[in-house]
Amino acid sequence: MPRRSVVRWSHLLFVAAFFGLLMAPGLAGHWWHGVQIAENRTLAPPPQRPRSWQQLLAWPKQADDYLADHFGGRLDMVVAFNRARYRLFGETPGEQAVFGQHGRLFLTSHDAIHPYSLIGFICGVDVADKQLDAAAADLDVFFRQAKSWATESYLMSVPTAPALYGEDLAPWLQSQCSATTMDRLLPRLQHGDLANHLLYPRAAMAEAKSRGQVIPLTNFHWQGVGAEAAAVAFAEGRLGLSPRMTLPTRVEVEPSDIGQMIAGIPTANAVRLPDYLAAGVQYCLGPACFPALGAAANVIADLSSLRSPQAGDKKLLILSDSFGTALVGWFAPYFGSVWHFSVSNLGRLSADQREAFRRQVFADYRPDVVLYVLHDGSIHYWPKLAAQNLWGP
Amino acid sequence: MVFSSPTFLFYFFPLFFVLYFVSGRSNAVIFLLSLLFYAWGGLTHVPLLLFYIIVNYAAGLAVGAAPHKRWILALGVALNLSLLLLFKYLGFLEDQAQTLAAWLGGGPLPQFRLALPLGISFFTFQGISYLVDISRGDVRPQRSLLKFAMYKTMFPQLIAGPIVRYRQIAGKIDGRRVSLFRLRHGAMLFALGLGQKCLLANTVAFPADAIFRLPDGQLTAGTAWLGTACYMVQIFFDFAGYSNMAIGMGHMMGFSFPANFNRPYCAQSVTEFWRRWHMSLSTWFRDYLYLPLGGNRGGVWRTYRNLILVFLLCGLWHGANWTFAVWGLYQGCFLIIERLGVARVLAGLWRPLRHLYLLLVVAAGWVIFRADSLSQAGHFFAVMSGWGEGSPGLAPVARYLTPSVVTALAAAAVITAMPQWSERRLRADLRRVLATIPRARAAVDGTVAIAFGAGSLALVAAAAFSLATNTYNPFIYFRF
Repeated sequence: MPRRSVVRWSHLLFVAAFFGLLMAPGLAGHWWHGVQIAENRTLAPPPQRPRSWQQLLAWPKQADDYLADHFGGRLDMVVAFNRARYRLFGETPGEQAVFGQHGRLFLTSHDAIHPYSLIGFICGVDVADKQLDAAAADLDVFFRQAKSWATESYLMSVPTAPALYGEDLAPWLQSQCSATTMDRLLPRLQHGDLANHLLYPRAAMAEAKSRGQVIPLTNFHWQGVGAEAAAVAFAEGRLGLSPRMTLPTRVEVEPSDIGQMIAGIPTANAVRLPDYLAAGVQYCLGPACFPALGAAANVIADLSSLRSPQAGDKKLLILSDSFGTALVGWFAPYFGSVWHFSVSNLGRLSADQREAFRRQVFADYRPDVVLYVLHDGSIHYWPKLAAQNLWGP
Repeated sequence: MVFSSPTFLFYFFPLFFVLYFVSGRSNAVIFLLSLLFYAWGGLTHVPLLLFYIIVNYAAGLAVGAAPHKRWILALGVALNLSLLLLFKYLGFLEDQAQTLAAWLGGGPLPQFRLALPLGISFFTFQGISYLVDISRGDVRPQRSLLKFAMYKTMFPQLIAGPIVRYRQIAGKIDGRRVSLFRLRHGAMLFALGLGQKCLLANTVAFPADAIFRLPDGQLTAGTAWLGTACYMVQIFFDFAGYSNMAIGMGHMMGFSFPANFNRPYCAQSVTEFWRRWHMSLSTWFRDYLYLPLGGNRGGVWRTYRNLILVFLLCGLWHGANWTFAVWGLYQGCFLIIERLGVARVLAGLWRPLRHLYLLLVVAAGWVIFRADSLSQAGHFFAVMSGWGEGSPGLAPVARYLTPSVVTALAAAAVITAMPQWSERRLRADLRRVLATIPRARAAVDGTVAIAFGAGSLALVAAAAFSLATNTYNPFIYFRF
């Protein structure tokens, strides 16, 4: 082919490919959906036909939002870009979930607007003594309320990755995380009844690190070994119970619980979980486990139960933030029955539903032990929130 | 609508060029879609834009019909400027009046705030240059309202420049050809600009914004310097990227827009910097303000007065805030200082030292430009100098100096320092190198064309993917 022809063809091909690249996402919006990732949000709806001047003014913004959410291959592009960035730089998109060292992924904040606020709190950065005093007072009030509902009430604060895997934090964060908020808060709680009913199982979990990841490498929540160590520390160390059975386990590969924030970056973890079938334990997860709660169960959403016939007839009630679910199974050797509810959504129940809930879990179920579980990053707000959701009007 | 948005890139841009070429490169298509482009970002200001068009069209005809009647020109220019004053500076002037009234013990004054119309600074300057050029006899007034409206609204340069003077495109308004080579050249320039904006400017924008938002107590010398460096890179690649996209689209439409940047950070003095930075604006100020004021023809003091005035107005053109005014004065002062003898001293210095001088002066200028207030700029300078450093807490340098930011800064430094490099030049260089190998020499054109094309497509794809990432906004796990 003559030289000019090659150049001309390459120009033609370039122009065609250039326009093709830019036209494809717009033209293929309806059928090129790409990979499926749960964004946990409602995508922008199509803009409505404007019927007033105000609606007309708002229309371009609505259209922009809609088009930005619905062009073809959007999620494929997100995945490709995130993957390329991770491979090239070892980085995640945004600062809400970031890799530290040794492949560990840290959730730095519960919202995207205040990155590092969660790690900052856990590590005690800029946490004033006044704030700690207030948190201690709230915990005290919460515990007294809890005791009024069930005498055998306990509080467990779950250490999260910054407290357990400080060595995996980015070097600049390590120096900030030498004394955690819990280290400073615990001395304020060592008084009266609360001291005997509060558990912060960091030592037990740190010891368990030799047996595996107490918090899976790319998880925010604990799973497997870590939850098991905390359950044993509570049941045997605090309650003095002995295991009635050996709980068989199996290893499963599970997706990261914050993986959708860094779509495209591999984050699966191999975790050791109780083998309920082999153990003869009936484990149930989700609203269907509690038909008596009716529609309230769907609102609560994060709830589970367990029946362990070999473990006797002791009953445990776990009321928690999002850290309760992983804990339930590990109590199978100690309790014949375990009920677990996250209290996060209880505030959305009607007054009647909440009253019925309280009646069922406290009066009808009659737990021998009530365990309130919260993670160390929520210690300053969860007691108030939980008290309001559980015992508010 | 900004160029680096899905709406523009995936919908408006292809739609426009399909309609443009199907319609035989119609001026009406440019005008109508440019109006849509403008209305998308500010529907309420479309009447104002149309008013500008009609006023300047009529004034142009009037000035053209009687160029000796200076009052017609003065009226046209005054109308352009008064609208700019009304929409852009009224709020600022009111704030100053309020402050003065409060200082004098008076009560609050009534306020008449108006929303700032997109691109008003650009199309005001366009209008003025059009009228002045007609009065100078440099160009004849456009008799077709549609063609004039097309010139005024042409979307690639409508809201962020470059400031295209009528005379620069007048020859192409009645008809233009777009060769395959030119279409490709324009598309490649667009791809380059898109890459500069999405991959470089956006990468360093994150630390720059975050650092300039830090509370005073958390700012350290290291973070302040990093924030400044990032902003230096951001503002250049953001603006140069936008300009390249605009110029590229101009080529694709058959127009030649003026270049806006010529490796400004390679300058060796502030005077040279201003010959390379935002050239369509600096030459506008030169031609329509500095020279009419007398330029450097009226003696030393008049020259200095003219420089200060021009740069003060240049600063205020960027925004109605004291920071912009001071930034303009700062630039003007350095131009004067260089004329006072510093330029001679610089000329005797080792080239890297001259370059360092320019970078430091420009960087300090960007701190004033970027700061929300003069007090923030002052604090920034103090911390950069090692005074009043705060405790970094969760915002040390290492948090912001991520591998991608380091790479972007390094890439920016290399691109900025690289000599002008074009496909044509590379072809010529390769041909020279391969002169003794005829077969290899023959393959140079095709290989270079394919390589540049592939590189440009990769830039477009990477930029589009990065844009998609910005639209991905997952809410965190519901259980939290």
